[in-house]
Amino acid sequence: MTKLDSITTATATPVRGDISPSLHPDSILPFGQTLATDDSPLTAAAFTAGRHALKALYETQAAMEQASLATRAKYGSGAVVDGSSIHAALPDDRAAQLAADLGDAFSRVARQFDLHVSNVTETIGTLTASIDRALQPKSRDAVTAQNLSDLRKFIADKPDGQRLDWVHQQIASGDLEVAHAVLGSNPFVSGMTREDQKLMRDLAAKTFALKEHAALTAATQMYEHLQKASQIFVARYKIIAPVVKPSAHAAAIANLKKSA
Amino acid sequence: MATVTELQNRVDHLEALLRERDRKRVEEQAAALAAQQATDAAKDAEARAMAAAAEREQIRRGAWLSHLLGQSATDAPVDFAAMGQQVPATGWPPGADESNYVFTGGTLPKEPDVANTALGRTLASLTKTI
Repeated sequence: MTKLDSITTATATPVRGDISPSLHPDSILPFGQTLATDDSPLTAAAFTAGRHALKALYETQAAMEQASLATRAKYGSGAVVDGSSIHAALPDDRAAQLAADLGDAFSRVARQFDLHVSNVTETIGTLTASIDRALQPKSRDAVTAQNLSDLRKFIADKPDGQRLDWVHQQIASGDLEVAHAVLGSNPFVSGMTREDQKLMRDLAAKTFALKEHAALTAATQMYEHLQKASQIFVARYKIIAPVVKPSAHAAAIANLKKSA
Repeated sequence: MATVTELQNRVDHLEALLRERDRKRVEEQAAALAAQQATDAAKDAEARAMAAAAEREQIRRGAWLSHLLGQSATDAPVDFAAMGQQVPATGWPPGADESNYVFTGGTLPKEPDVANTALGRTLASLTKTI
């Protein structure tokens, strides 16, 4: 059994028709091909965390939908149109109970989700640092510094139309020294803009740290997917959680406290 | 045609089935709740044990550093990094043990406020905009 298989088996979640597929753990399966490899426990852990984060959202939303449906089926009467949905009206006490239960589930899943996502962000940070290290010169002596400075001057002296193309060609053909020169200082020293330097950094990462770059891209995309999934979850929670108005008693007590 | 007694028997039977179903569901919910509470209690106990162990280790290291500082020459520069490496992995410095110190149980990691979680912030932004 491969690492990816064992992770997907451990976090398998039954599919439901009433929940957005973006919340299902299998929606990040494509990133698993890159992240869940046997030789990288760090990225495999991040992928597992991503699956757990989505599993928590998916299962909690399933439980919320079920609770809302069952409560409205049993105690609902008439229909309420609140601008975002049409659903059965609930008596105040039942609405308060349902809101409290859904709120409790929301609190629990919010903490779990943060915990898992923090694992993903830590991995992104580690991969970024790893790429940074790969793109820095190993020696920091005066001769190397002088060479890199000369290279930057050489690049800056090139005509505007040829400069970026030349640097691109050198990095793509594996010239690490050119990468060190243009990435190790302010881009304007080499006659480049910040956007140019960012492009060259990306190319250098692909060339000299291919595995880390692929893992970083997958982890970043997975992180963005988790953010979107969380927004879908919260939007749905907002629709199904009943709005509880304070009782006359609670309002009177609040007024009393205010005037005191 | 079924008699009233037969109909009543069927109703009784159906009601008994419904009661049985409700009872099973409540039992399942109670079992799930008990399991959740047991898990929460175990997690809580584990967190407390870890906090107490961390506090004990911090005090033990502090006691060793104090001992090593006392042994070093007063006019020599103190290398705290090197001194930290001299602290043994286990045990207390000569003349000291756990009874010399008061342990408060350590600091438990605080659960984040829901409003400060990613989901909490998203909910707050939706509430503001809608």
